[in-house]
Amino acid sequence: MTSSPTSASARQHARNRGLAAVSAITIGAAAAGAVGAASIAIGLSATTATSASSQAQAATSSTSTNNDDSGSTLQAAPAPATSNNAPVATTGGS
Amino acid sequence: MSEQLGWAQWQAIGTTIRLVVTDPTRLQAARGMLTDDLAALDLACSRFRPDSELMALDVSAGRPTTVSTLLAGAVRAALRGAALTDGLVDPTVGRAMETIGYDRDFASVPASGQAIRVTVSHVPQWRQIRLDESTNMLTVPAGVRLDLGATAKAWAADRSAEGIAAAIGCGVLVSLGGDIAVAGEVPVGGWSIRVQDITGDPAEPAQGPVSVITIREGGLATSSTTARRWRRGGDMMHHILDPRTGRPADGDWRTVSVAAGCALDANIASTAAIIRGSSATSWLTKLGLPARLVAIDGSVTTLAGWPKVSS
Repeated sequence: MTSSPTSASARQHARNRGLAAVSAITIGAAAAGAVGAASIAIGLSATTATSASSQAQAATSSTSTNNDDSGSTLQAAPAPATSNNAPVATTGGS
Repeated sequence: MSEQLGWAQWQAIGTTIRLVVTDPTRLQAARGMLTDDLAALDLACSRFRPDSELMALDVSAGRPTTVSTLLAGAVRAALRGAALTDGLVDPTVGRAMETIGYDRDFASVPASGQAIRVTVSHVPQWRQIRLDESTNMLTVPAGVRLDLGATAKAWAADRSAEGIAAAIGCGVLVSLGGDIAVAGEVPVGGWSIRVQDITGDPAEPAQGPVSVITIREGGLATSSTTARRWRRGGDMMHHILDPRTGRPADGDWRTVSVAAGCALDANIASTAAIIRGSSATSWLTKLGLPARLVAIDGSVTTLAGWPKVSS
């Protein structure tokens, strides 16, 4: 991939809003003749006025009726054990 | 397969569904419940059907919208993932996914295509999503499209496994594309699961290093850059986006499997580990999450008590 600087006005706009700078990326070899220009929205680190703690709190408040997925940390579990039994399922990417 | 277990496997929500129960006489009832759960999940959360509740949020254009309890729960799970990974597992990457080519059900994504030019720009991220759980009022900034793919399946597997086990009174394993949740009675010897790069039928051989382990509770999930791949120009794309760059994650690991207290947390961890790359081992160890990490060259690292034996 290659990158190129964005316009000065775009960078200033980003700084004014306290957000990360912009950049342009060409995906795929041979930028010359690349087709299909598009603007995308990417979540970059931002220092907005939005209350991160309130979002985290909302995300962790418990309303679940089954597993307690509302904790402040990822829930640990006992480590798996080795098995000589035939598997009943598989886990992998999908 | 043990004579004491019943199982069914089919395709739904763009992936392989596998259901195993400890009482084969309850399999039909369990499958009916799971089928209903998945239909509701798809209608609420799919990025690939125009009539989904998630896609209807585009019309809201940043205005608070009352959503279903199901969608609210799925968004809550996604926000949990973002909060617990410092934003590495971010549900606001929907537009980025579309731009790099994953803009439809994966089965319809062309395997190769022309190069594309992408402008990465700052946008409101997950912290801009507002969810009032008392009213199911959801606010998504205009122009942001949610992608719940990193958490919704695992979250749904947890819900369905618990609900079905409680309803039919036996042990249940639900696998949604390899995101596995177990509930209820535990079979003798535990739930035996084969861990591999790409999930598939346990009766079929798998490529790459494999490990057969058992769990008795919680969830197990695997994230892998070897599944869902397509080419654009000279670059190979895959579906695990790094929200810091807007590009597919390019770290040390091709596959990470994690066992956790629930499938949702296992999947949050496995996805974050792929994106973290070299820092994943210390992070997972600090969290005490048993994990199996497969490097790009196929070498295997195990953490926090995960059995070292593999083939």
